[in-house]
Amino acid sequence: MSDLGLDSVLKSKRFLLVLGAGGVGKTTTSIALAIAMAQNGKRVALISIDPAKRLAQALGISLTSELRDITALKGRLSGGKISAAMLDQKAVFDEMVMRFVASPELQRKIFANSLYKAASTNLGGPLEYLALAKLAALEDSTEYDVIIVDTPPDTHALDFLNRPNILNGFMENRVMTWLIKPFVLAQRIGLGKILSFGGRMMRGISEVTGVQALTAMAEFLVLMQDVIKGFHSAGEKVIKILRRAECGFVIVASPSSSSLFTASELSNELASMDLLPSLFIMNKCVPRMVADEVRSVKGGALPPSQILEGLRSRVDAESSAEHRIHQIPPQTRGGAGLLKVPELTTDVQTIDGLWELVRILRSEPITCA
Amino acid sequence: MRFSNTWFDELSKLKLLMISGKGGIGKTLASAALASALAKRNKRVLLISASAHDKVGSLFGVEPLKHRETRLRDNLFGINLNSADNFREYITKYLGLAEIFETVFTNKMVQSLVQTIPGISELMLLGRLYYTCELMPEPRYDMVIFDGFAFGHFYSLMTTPDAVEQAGLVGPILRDTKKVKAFLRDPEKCGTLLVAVPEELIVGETLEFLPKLNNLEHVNMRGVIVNRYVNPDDIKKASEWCNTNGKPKMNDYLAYLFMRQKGTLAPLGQLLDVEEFAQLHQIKMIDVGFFEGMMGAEVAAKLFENQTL
Repeated sequence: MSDLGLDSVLKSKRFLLVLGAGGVGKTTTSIALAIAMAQNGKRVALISIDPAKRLAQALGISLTSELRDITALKGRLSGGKISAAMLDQKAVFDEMVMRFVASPELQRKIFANSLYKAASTNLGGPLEYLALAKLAALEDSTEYDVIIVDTPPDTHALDFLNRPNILNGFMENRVMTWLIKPFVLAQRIGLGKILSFGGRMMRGISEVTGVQALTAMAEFLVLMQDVIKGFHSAGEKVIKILRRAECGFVIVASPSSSSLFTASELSNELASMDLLPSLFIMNKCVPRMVADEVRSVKGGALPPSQILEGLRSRVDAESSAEHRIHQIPPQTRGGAGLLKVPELTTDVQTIDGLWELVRILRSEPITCA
Repeated sequence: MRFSNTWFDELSKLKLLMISGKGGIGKTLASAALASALAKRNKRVLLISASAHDKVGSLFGVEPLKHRETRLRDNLFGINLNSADNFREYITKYLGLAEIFETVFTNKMVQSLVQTIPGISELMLLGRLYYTCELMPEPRYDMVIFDGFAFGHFYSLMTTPDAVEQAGLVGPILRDTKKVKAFLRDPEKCGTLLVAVPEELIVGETLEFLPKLNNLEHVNMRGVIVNRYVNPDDIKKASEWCNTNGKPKMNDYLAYLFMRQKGTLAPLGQLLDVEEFAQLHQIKMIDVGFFEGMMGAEVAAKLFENQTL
């Protein structure tokens, strides 16, 4: 399958999730993939939650939950276009409230709620929900041919995949009502009078968090009911999207053993959900001609130089990394091949660097075991 | 810039040293190297991580660490905290509410509720760091090194106490959050180091996060560790060797690495020259390619070559 290139792998995809450990170049790769698809005439929506600020600046992408055309690339995309959104937690949270809560008065109350303010501005975590909700919201869009989601880094990426299930497990309305009821009652008649199991549970929580916290929580949950319902249906939608054949998963790694570990974990996670990766990309490889020269030096012939020893260990690590990806068993790997990207000698955070990356991605062969 | 012995002495007086940086640039390696160097100085050190996939164990040739203190070398111990256990220990051991935990918090529904409340696991983690440094039954560790999260996650970890206060909570959680914050704020006790590598993207994000973190009242920035640093003398030697042995591509590549290092470290140096950050130090960790050996005090000394530990 030597003629297999990036274009043929991506051709049939409408949804693309880009996964991988932190620091492997996921966001940059996502943008490059968006450009590659736009060059084939596609209209691409790119959702990123890990804004690489300088690149975003170079491209004129602002931190917003709304998709905006990347004008810096206009005229260079042969008929296609890219709209990008770098999700800002607070903005997307607010957007969800406005979408799922019908009454303007209720919206105002939510925005004024102190727990809402604290959760929407300060805390990590919900961003993953939000990226998924955004994906679900775009499912039926006729404005875009392709939707690319750049997922959160590190272990959170695994969460991201599990999130739809958490949403389904927890956000059942029945459960919510059952949990909320004692809160509401507590507000009205005082805690001591609640003797139900739910009440006992709430008392446990209250001993830890304080009784007033309980009331605040109750208010918050009651207010947020519609939003939670909205997330719930978004979660179900996302699961369906992930299962569609036109949804692809690109796993990005670097030759470091920890990012490879994450890559193989991710393909296991996918397999456990009956999903398969479409492509592995290994960034930050030593340029081929350099690597060839390093390999041509016989063992022991290197002088005692740390950088030369480092270079050799890097080339060796890369070979074993390649080997490890090819060794991922077919049942968790599907037919996904490996695309190696040599380290760029132009700054990849500039438009020129990005263009070079796209060229490499589209011209390098994809190898299969 | 070399960091002086006195500076490292100062650093080793802290109770808690937190490490952050962009993902995939050697935070764990730097944490392990610092911990080893400190243990060598007769400090009893605990290296704490909070990772779904422990990387510390393999650096010391033991099984992946779990939520249990494990001896790594003389004077050096490691633990990999997980949030469910942190939560359980907070309620049962610290608050002494074992019964409530059994009847209430082991309930599946409550567990998913707890998982879903934003910030709770961050809060429990900070609490656990505080507990380990200040409250644990004696003999306590002389120093705790926390192999912290990548920037974004670390930032939200450090803003969690503010979020709890702003949310208008009361009761034990608020009371303890205030204590944790006071502990973190104490410059005699807690400090944070960032790890970076001489690449445009990484240094760019470091320059962005450093002031942001520094602005948080309870973060005491102490410096930046530059990992994968190439020594100019070493480059010169390597380049001569490439020339005499006919390796032009290798030579070009080394020249590129060196140029890139110069280009990226200049803005970092400029930032650290600004008065506001002038007390921060730059520590250089030598590039050894992909580190696959075993971490020990000798290796740490090699990594921090030219810098007195």
